[in-house]
Amino acid sequence: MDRTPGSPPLTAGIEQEIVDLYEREAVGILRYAGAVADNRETAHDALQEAFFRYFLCRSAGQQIRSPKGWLFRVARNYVLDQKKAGSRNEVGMDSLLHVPCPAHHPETDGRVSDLLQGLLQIGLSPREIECVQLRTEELRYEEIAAVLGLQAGTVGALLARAHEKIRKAVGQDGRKNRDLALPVTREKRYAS
Amino acid sequence: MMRKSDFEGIESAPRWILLFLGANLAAGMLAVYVWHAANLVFSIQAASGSTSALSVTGMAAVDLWLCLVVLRGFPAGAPLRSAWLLITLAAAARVVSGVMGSLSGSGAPAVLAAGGPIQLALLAAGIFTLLRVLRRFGFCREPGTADWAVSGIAVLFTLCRLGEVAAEWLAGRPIPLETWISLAGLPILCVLFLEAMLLRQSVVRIGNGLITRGWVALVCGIFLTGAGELTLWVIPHYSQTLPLAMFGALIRLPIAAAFALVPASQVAAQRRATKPANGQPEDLAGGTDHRLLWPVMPR
Amino acid sequence: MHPSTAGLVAYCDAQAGSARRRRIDNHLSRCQQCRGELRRIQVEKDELSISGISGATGDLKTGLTELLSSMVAWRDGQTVGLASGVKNRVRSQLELYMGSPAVSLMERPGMRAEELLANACEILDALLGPAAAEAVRDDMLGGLRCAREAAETLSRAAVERHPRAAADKHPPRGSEKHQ
Repeated sequence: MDRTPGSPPLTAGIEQEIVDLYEREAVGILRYAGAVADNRETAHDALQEAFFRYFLCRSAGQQIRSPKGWLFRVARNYVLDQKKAGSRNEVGMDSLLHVPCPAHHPETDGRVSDLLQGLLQIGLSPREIECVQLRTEELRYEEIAAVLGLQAGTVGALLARAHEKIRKAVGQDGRKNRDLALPVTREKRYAS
Repeated sequence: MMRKSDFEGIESAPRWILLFLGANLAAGMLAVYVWHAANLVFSIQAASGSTSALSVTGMAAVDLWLCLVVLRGFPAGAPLRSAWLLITLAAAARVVSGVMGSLSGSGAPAVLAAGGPIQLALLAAGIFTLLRVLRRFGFCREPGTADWAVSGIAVLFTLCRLGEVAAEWLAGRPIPLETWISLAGLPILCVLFLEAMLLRQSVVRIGNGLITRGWVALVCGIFLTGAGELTLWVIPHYSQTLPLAMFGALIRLPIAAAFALVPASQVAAQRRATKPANGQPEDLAGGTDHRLLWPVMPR
Repeated sequence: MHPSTAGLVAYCDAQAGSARRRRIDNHLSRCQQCRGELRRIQVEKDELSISGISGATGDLKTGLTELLSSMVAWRDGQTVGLASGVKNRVRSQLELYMGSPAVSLMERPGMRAEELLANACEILDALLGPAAAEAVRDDMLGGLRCAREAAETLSRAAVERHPRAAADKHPPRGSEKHQ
């Protein structure tokens, strides 16, 4: 352990690293934390907490292999800890009635796909929903697995199951079929 | 008070090992008063053909399995990877010795070698690597007078055995191969004694945490091995009627258990660290509308 | 042999291994049914993706400013309570995995919290293995509310520096009656 005793750590480079990371990932983390928490304040706290802990770890010379996945995991665990502590997140069943349904969120211009509405009703498990949510935030399967404490293979299986449930639910309702008949000119998005 | 949950999962391996050992010792102590031993000196290092051989081999197999679990937690490049690799190989040598002893008889040279000097040498190399890492962090010091004194006992014992064998050889009596193999392990045992003292010293400096419990078991295993060798050598000099085989059987299982406790304690520490975080998504699902889990768009 | 749904989903997400991807590529070039299935999965994925949502930018800019201020406060040693909390957490984990004497050996008077954390992580990395050490490190910081405490420290410091400004901003109750 060859550190100069008593000297303050060099953090200028770390601060820039954190600023860059914040600008890239904060939106997604806040969105995800908002999904797991039930209020904005907790989600915001989770975001700040995740980045501050990242700063602490980096100040301690720790290398974090997958910063994005790590930040999501810390944010999630923070929210879950807050829920457990029940400090200001006591949610009874009645209050759920007043939570705005994202299916009708104004920022989506009122245009929510029939598929999305169907998804809310088809009974995806919480894990499946979280896997889908994290995939939406462009996390790799290994990162999703690290966030949720699963194996990477399990993540793939959960996503496949989610798709099967979606297909089953959509297939049962004929009037939703038009959403699936997208133009074949839509470009396939495969990562290079 | 012991709860059912204290015996669940691989992290409860130390408890299971101690429970098994306790039960076996109780049964063995009862049997030693009714069983007359043969008038032979058994080496403590190799597996025997006695009924306890299965328990010892089984314990060695558990030891090996736990070592492999521990090894997975130390990828290439980790400071203690080579130490645990050597400890795992030592466990493998004990298993091979036990299995071969059951198949081909305990007197086979390969059995004695695997269960004797080979596994001791691997263990000594592993502990040396461990001590080097501990020294880097300042937890291990130079050997002191007490360390040299205890090692001196092992050296004295080795010299006595060598002297006996030399006297027999000079008198023209044939020395069996198993005796030579057994003797080959004694100098390594001296080195192990010194390492055990240094490890003990490190444990005192560090404290009695989850990690150091395994090292305490390692120290105990080494001292029990030496004590067992000493006992089995001393007894025939004073009594031909004491059940030597039973003593041998009684001491081999605790030694195997002590060595099995080493990876068991490490696994328990690693599992304690990596236990899943509380609050899986299912916890949220209890009475919670899954709409809450869908993105809530920030305003 | 058609690839499974899981295989197609992984392929769509570019998470399939190279061998699996090649197999699926070869199959897709021959199988219209699977191409349709893949298109369906892509459509579902696109529907599930919610992109282009803005609106939180203002919040995030403020958040970044707060974060940077907290970081500076930490670096300058203003967050004494938080640093002490971090040290206590590190000590308790070290005591659990190693023992109290180890903590005394590792900690020097006046040592910064992140230095103690660094030393602890280095030793646990060596003795427990990287994965377990990482989990312990996360445990050390878990349960703390570092960012919030740092922010509260800063606002308390601001109040102490400018009590009049703080009072003007938050007048005591009843003062309106006398105006």
